[in-house]
Amino acid sequence: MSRVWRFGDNVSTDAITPGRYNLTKDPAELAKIAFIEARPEFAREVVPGDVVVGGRNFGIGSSRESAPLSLKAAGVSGVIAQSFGRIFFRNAVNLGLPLLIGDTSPLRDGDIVEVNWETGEVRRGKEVFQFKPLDGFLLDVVRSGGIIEYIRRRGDLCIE
Amino acid sequence: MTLVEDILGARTGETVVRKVDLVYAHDGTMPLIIEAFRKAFTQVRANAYVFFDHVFPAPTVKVANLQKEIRDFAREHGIPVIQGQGICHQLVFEMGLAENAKVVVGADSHTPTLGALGVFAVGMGATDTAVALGLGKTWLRVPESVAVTFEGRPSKSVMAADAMISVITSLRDYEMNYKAIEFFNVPFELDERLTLTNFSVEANAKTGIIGDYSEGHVKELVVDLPSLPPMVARPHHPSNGVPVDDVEGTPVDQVFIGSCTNGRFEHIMRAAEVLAGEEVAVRTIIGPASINVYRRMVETGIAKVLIDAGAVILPPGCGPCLGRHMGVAGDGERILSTTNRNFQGRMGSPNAEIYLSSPITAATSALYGEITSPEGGA
Repeated sequence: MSRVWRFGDNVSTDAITPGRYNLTKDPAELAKIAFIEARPEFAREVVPGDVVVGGRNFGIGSSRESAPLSLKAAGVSGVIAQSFGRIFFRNAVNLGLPLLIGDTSPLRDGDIVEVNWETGEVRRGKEVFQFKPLDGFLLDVVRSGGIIEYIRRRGDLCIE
Repeated sequence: MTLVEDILGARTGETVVRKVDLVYAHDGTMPLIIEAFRKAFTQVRANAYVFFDHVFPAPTVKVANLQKEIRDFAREHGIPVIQGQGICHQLVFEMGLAENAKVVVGADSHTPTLGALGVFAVGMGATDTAVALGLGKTWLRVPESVAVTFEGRPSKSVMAADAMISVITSLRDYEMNYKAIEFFNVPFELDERLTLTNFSVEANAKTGIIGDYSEGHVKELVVDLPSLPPMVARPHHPSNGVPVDDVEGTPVDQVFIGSCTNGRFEHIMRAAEVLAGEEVAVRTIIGPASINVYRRMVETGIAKVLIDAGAVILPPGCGPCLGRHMGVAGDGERILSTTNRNFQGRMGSPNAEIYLSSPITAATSALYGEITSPEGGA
């Protein structure tokens, strides 16, 4: 079971790991600065397995990989949003952080849900919400634990 | 065929692997690239460059140590490191590094700036960039393209930034993620053309490309330039565009004119024309995009015009755009900036407000200490 951390539309990577704080590559340090100003209690209270839920355009802006890395390091199991900023999307997949896409409006902050990242099924009590999961190459990458692990295993990008 | 399909040699929606002609990164993104690279690769197999532009010269020991690590890695792999000479996208353009390139990967979200040269340039994160360095190629989903076609010429106080704030605002409710913008019938000169593609990123576009003709677009947007007024993007998103008149008189604490969006020679010159012989009413910071821009400012006397008006000129680089140094916003302050992002907290305090505008509007506002239309006529 996972707790939902609900955010709105247009969450930028400046909000996830602000430019003044992300001058480090240490995941443990990055975990402490996730949403440091946008939502200061997040880093203190998030527990492994929790889910971040956004609206439209989650993770827009700067290419900084510190953003998904900080969420992963904080124990977030994945992110669900209506749409993602494209660099954040790739960065998350590359780090092995699963994503679901779909209408997130029924999901509220503090909801306790069960998420199946491979089928896209999100259960809240007896309710079931269906999201679009990653598939094909992207799912392979996430299953490998990220693109670095994928390449170590396969030696190349196996797409065409 | 769209411009993108033509360059990538594949149809929209297909996922392809393509050789990367140039890979570049900067001091902000390189440390995590090195981390990822070392886990899977030993040899760099791409034409690569590193630029120190985000926080240079180093303001803290921590930053200095990260920069030292980048230099060591670059030396080990024969990658040129260009330090303090300007913003990566501007230098790639000025040094001609993207000439004859088809696909360029940059570890910075504003890499699509280079689409003004007709290349497919995309911003990527650290791990993607590490893969591009290690394999010399990357995977891409061929994006759908939205056509933006200009009609007519803008009035003398309207610049590319005004056109883009208008375009981004028009596309606010349209799903632009994973799609490209293709620009046609562009009446702007090169310095300003780079502003168009640079700003495309804030419409959530995957890239922006300027071309002559193509077809197969999923959406067509026409921008009537003669009727376009000077624009301002209100906090906290570039899609909150309104005519300057709507917010005229809003007091500002700081004006920043520069960045990879509006820090080229034409931009600074247009600002200097407004500031010549006058005195700024608020702190005004000028950030040339490269040392070459700075040199021309000195040689043409524009640097003196700006200094005499009371402006502060920064060394070439990203300056205060990302809120790390050189003009960070304090609590409750309001900044008018010619950069491309006004997200909450972007330039400093999360309680600060950032408005975006063209260099002409920013310079005019600097004289009055409040947002002021360059078309005032008063």
